[in-house]
Amino acid sequence: MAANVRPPDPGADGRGDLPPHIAAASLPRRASPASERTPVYAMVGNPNCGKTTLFNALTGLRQKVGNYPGVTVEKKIGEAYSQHGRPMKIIDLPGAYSLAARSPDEAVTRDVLLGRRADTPQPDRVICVLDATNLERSLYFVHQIFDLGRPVIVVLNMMDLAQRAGIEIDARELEARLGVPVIAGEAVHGRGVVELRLAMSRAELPLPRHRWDVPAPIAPAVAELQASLSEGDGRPPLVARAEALLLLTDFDTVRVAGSTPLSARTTGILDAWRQRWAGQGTDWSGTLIKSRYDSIHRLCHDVTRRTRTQGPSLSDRVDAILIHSVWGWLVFATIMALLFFSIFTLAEYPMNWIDSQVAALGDWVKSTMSAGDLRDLFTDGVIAGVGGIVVFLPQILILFFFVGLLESTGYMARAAFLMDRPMSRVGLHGKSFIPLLGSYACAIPGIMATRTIEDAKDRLVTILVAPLMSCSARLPVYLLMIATLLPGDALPAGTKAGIMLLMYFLGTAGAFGFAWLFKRTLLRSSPPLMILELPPYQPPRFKDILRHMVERAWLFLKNAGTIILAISIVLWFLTTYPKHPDPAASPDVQIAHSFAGQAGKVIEPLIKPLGFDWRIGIGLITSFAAREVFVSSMGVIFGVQAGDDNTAPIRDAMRAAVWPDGAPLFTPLVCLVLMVYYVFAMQCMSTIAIVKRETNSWRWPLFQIAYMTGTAWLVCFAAYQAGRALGF
Amino acid sequence: MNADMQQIAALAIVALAVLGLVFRRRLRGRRKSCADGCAACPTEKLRR
Amino acid sequence: MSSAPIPLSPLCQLPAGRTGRVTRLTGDEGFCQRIREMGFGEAALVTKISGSSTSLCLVNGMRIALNHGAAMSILVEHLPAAAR
Repeated sequence: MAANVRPPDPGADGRGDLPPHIAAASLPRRASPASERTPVYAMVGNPNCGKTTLFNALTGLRQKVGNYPGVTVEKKIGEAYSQHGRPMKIIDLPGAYSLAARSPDEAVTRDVLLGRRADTPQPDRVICVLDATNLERSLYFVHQIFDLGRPVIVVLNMMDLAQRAGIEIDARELEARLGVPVIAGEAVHGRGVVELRLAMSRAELPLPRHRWDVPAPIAPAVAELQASLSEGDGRPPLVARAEALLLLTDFDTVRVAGSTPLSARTTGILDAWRQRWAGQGTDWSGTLIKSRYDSIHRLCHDVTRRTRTQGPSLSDRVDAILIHSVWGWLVFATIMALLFFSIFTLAEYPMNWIDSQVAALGDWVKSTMSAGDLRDLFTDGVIAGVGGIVVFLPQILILFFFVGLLESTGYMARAAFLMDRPMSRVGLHGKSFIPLLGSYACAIPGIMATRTIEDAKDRLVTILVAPLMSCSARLPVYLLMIATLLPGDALPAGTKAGIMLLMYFLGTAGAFGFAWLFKRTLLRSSPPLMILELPPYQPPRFKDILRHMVERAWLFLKNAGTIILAISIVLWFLTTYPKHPDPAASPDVQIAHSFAGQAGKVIEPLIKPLGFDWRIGIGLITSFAAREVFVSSMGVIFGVQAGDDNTAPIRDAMRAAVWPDGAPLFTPLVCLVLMVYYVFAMQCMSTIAIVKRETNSWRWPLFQIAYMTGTAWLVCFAAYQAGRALGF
Repeated sequence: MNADMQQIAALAIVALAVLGLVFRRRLRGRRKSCADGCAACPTEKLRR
Repeated sequence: MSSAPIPLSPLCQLPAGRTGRVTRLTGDEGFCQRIREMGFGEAALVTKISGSSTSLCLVNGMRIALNHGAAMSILVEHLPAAAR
């Protein structure tokens, strides 16, 4: 694709064509070129048009990318260097269809562009990323951006896809018509990035020249509102005009005004005009949108050419199967089954290897150090705790590989499509399933992803149930319990995968059930309307997936090396001190005498009805930090208890554990009940913190802890008592 | 290393671990409220 | 374009594989607004790809999924099969 960067041309800045107020307002800025202050660029465009890919290419950052709308839900700031080595600040913004924001992620974009965020400078220049396969719709948002009166650079992204679809765009003609640099390229292949950097390096950038007359019936209202907004509400002149136009685009002023309420004068003017139009039967908002689209349509007609009409594309043919009402579900189930099966089969070899290395390390410490507390701290605290959890790294990597596949191919949006029907039964729509599916990896990005949900109550319901989806931190707990439950390798991996699938199913069913309950009681609202764009399929981008896997692996190891290490050490202390007066006391007696033992005895009555003893209780408490801490806690507790000469895997020590009366502790029933407990219980401080931030109050996270952990207790109680009654 | 020395060393490490847990927030630096530096997290410090 | 009488129906009732022209948007105003902003407003051509409760449509070359409530609020006139 040809680079279409125009050489700097002092005469072609387009100022002559602009309405006088825009030209005037931009004069001071242009008189002093951005030599002192770092220029701030905003990267905007429709959802899933490749903004973050371009942002990563420019800044060298590694923000998450994926092939579904709504990957970026918060602004990201990065730095790039101009051709002359000057720093430039770039703000990557969530995708939006319009400045009249309908969801919290779009509101972020609106607020940054209108200069309302105190923590973010108002962008000096705007990079508009356009999806070349969908020029008309992309240009609608650009059209609104033009109203801001900032210099704009247009990037025509996905030119290869457009060409394949039989759309030819004359970038030069588009540039001439818009009066701003237009760069054609493909961000995924790095094409156009150099040209974009060159354009960004220009000291002077022209203002958009595209002429568009506000429809006559609305023009006087725009002028009046603009005056009121700049005088009464203190908006800068250009922002005032853009905001006036937005107020006349959307019925809901809150969507435009956001958290900065309008002055009484502006509201009065707005209401007066709306009443007048209502009396005349003028569809004011439709008129404005239509007028923009008419102007865009003429433009597109002149710059695009269809080389052939579009038949069913490859994506359509794939979709015929993947969103089929029967085949689609079959494929979905197969993907899930394959995921769990590979967690058990593929992970086994690296897991055994890590296991043997951890054991060898423990043996080495034992053989080189003389007996004493420090040695015990290392073997029973550090190695048993951290080693016990690091073993599960391969499984976590496999999970993230699968999630990455789903995210980068475009399947996420299809899963949302497929799930729309079951979701509508509980009162949500398919879009809510994207955050839920993301929560299989980790509830935190899942909860962030709810920002794409328009309705505040639906969003809250989704946030409340998202942590019920089994996240990657539960994986080690499930795996440990399944290993304890089904010893040896004699049993086929299928059985183990089946139990795991059951737990994931239980969590998902719980999420649906509670969503149904909340939508009917606490957070009643009418059934939501869903509109979701399905991106074309892409071959998976293994580089991105691998990068994401490495990031998650690093995070997992970092957690193991910091928080889990510290908790393991503290737990070792609590299980070792105070020491029993008789130094020859058996490890069982010693641990019962320790702080942890005494504390455990206090809480035991609360969990005994679930079949858990105080040692499991300690694990439940420590795993409030993060669920996987349960595994390391079991490692420490049973490591301490096993005494000196044992470096066997935790599962063997656990299998040997007994109640004081000699009955085995980890019966199959208890193992299952414990897994069920982790399915439902809210055991993650990070999630609580993120829910607090996203809902802006302590009310909902506290409610979440209460309802989830309460449910966990009740379900486990019922399951354990029923199991006992049935003779298990 | 005799048993007493080992005990002192072990207790010192435990004390360090406790301090680390207590001052976790501060040690982690400016990242607030989120222990999970996932890519979707806005408070995640951007690296070059 | 054929001059035969054109049946008007909500989008959810447009048979798969057929094309319609959006004539009216009903229901939630904010939603209509967004539909229009996405280029799905009056006079847009919509081809239904599939869907019973959730519809998948082709509008201006983009695939858009609509749930039943959303598809119900978009009224289309059926175009003859050849009018694509």
